[in-house]
Parts: sequence; structure tokens; C-alpha cells
Amino acid sequence: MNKRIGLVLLAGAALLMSGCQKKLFHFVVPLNKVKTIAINNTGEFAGYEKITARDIRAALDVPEDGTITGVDLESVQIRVRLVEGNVATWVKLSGFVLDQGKPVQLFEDKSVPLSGVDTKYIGLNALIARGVEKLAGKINDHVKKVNDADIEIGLTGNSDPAGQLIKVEIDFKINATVKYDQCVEVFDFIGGEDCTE
Amino acid sequence: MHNSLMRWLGLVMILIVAPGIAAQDLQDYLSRYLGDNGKKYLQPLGDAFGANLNSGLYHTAHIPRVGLHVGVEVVATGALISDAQRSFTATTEEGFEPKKSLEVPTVFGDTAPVAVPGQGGTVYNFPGGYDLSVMPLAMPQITIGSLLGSEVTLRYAAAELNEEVGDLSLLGIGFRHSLSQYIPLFPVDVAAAVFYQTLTVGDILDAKTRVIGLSASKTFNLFTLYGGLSHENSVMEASYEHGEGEEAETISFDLEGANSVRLTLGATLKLAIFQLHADYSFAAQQSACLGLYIGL
Repeated sequence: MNKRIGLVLLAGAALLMSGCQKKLFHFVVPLNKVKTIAINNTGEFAGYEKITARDIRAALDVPEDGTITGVDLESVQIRVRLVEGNVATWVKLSGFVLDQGKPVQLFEDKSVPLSGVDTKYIGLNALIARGVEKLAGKINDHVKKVNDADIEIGLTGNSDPAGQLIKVEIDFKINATVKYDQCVEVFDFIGGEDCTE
Repeated sequence: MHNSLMRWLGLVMILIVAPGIAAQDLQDYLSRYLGDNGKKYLQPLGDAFGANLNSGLYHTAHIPRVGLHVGVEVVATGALISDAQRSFTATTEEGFEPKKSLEVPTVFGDTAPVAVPGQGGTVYNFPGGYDLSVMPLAMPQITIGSLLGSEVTLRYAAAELNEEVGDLSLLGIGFRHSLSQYIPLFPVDVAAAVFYQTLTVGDILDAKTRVIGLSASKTFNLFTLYGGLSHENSVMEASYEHGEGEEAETISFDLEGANSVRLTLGATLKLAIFQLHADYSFAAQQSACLGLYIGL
């Protein structure tokens, strides 16, 4: 009888116990940054904003023991909000990122209607690969602490038709994803790759 | 991003699946998902969680007409994750061009993220899952009877977690009544049952399950064969803030469990005050259960 009870207890204990081991997980976290460029100009305009390494790291959500494996630029969006006194009804925008003082185009001649103060973000479906690569590379440098130089982004444009008074605030939104690996201790029954660390 | 949905999933996984994982890590998997994608990513968890909670509620249909019996029990259940539950069709979120739909991992799917190339060198990354084939859950319960062939089963657990997450409370109550007591010399024991359970975690998680069913059993010396047919439902509510500052918005959705009808077949081995039982439930979300009951 005691043996039977022992077997039952053993089975119960086995049921309730499970070992742990470290497994490698590949995480993907968003890194979104919005910069606002105010325009108050008649005719052609240009505006700049800086994104600091501190800005990027403040928006970064990666644990200390995570190993960052890369940064991808997912999209760039803009939102144009009217300011009192604006006359223009359309604006044509181009965006760029400065690389060693020279502008590298992100997008060109995007026409945006000026319709109000509570507008939605507009996706840009004609991004330019070289600009995307530069911007992603600079964000990558910040998150990996390779180069902390500020990222300078800018907008140029004009009203459409040209020469009208433009009084707007333009939100320039960068949506990136940061990929990182982390070894995490989990129960045995969770799958995934074994950790080699 | 640090929103409630992520805390919610992290908590559920921490409590149930992976005590070793910090909430931060699990949140990061979900941080890519919103709205419809988020719901589809988590749906298998809702199915498995509901099936698990509604398991292990009985291991015999025999309920004496009178006489005190009290038993404490630990039940361990495991929802079996099918291949279909490991992936879903997701669509890239707003802003990414061009919009694309493709098969990506659910919370139970492969751990590798899926990268989708977009125009101009952009890339959309869908997160991976936890590569689980079984989702386990262990629960304590106590059964007290009998009065007029009836007994009550209680499930209860409470814990103070932390300020960010809130308190955890699992409360379940079930009532079973012998039907075979009304039919003299009926060859098997038959009982009807109803169970209701709630699981709350702060303001983050609110899950409810209901079960109503019939069970039957036949005892042969130390062994009892049992089975049952039940109707059940489960709902887990997820609610979270998405975005930051002026762009913050509240997103909430319900994860309704897949199960509605369940057929359970199992066996109990009785050794003195110990009863070890095992059963398998055939349902939309299939599950297995093992339990150890100690009592008189």
C-alpha cells in the first residue's frame, strides 16, 4: 500500500514540476518619433528639425541584456495642421535627411490638401530607397551607440499653386522597428532556439 | 511602448506559462500588434485559456446522497495547440506601403519574426510567437458534499502582484447534483453540473467562463471510468491604451473561447485517500487533464 501511495505522490510531483532553461527569443519593438516643423512663409519654404541620440534612446524599449540586431524603417508619415491665417489650399512637400551636411531625399513633391487642424497622418507611398537607407542607418547608429551625431531631417516645399501664404505645422513621423535577441529563462515546454550564452 | 495589453499578456504568460520571463520581454512581442492583428495574434491564447479553465471540474459522477466528504485537489490541464493555431493571416498596419497580407505566427507560433519588404527599402516586421504545442495551467480546488446528492466545488486563488499590474483573483464555483439517485439500480452514476469561474487581474484582465453539463461514471474496484458532455463558453476581455500623449487611444476587444460543446472521457484510480485521474476532452480546442484529489 505504501508503495502505491508513493507512486501516486511521485506522479503528482512530476505533474507539478517542470524544469527551466534559457531560450533565445527574437523580439521586434517599434520605435516611433514625431518631429514638428512649423512653416509660416509665402512661396517656397524649408524647415529642419533634429533628432538626438537621447530622443531615440528615450523612445527605445530594449532591455539591458538584449542584443540589438538591426533597425528597419517601416514608414514615414506626415500630418499637416493649419494655423490661423493660412491662405494656401494645397502644399507640395519634399522630405530629406541630412548626411554630412548634404540632403538625401526621402520623398519628393508629395501634394497634401490643407483641410483643417485635426487631420490624420498620410502615408508616403513613394519613399526613396537611398533616403530610407540613410535614415535607418542613422537610427541604427543611435540605438547601437555607434554614432551619436544628431539626425537632421527637413522639409522643403511650396504652396500649390505656388506663392500663397502657408501657415501650417507639419508633423513628421518616423516609424521604425528595432530587432533584438534576448536569452530568457522559460519552462522546458516552451519552444524556440537554445541559448548559447 | 508600455501599454496594458502588453502587461496583460505578459502577466498571463508569467502566471501560466513562463514564470521566468519578465513582462518586458513578452510585451515586446505584442508591441507590434494592434486591433485586428492583435486579436488574431492572441485568439489561440483565449481558446486555450478557456478550455483549460473549464477542465478538471469532475472525475466521477458518483455523489453520495448523504454523508460528509471533503477533498482538496490540484488539477493540471493542457490545451493542445494545433497547427492551425500557430499562424494567422495578418495585414500590415497603416502607414506601411504597399499594404500586404500574409501568414505570420500567433502567440503560439514560431519564434522567428517575419519581415515584409515594402517600397523604397522599408521593412515591416511581424513578431514571432512562443513555439508552444501545449499550454498548461494548474489550479487548486476543493469539493464539499453531500447533501441530497449534491456537492459544491470551489476554485480560489488570490495574490498581490505589483502596483502596475494589480491583484490577481481566481474564483470558481460549481454545483453538481446526482441524477442517478432518482433511478433505483441504474447501472451508472449520472450527475448534472454547472460551473462559473472568473479571473481578474487588476484592470487589465477580466475573464469569465461558464459550463453546464452532464457526466456519467462507472466504478470497477480501484478504477472509475467517467465521461461527460457539456456546453461551455469563455470570454477574456483585453483593454489597453495605444499610442502616447495626444495620440493615445483605448483599444479593447474580447477573446471568446472556441469551445461550445465538449466531450470528456477519463479514468480515476483510487488509492485510499488519493484519487489520481486523467481525462481528455474532445472539442474545438482539445485538452487533456491530470488531477490529484486527496480527501474522504
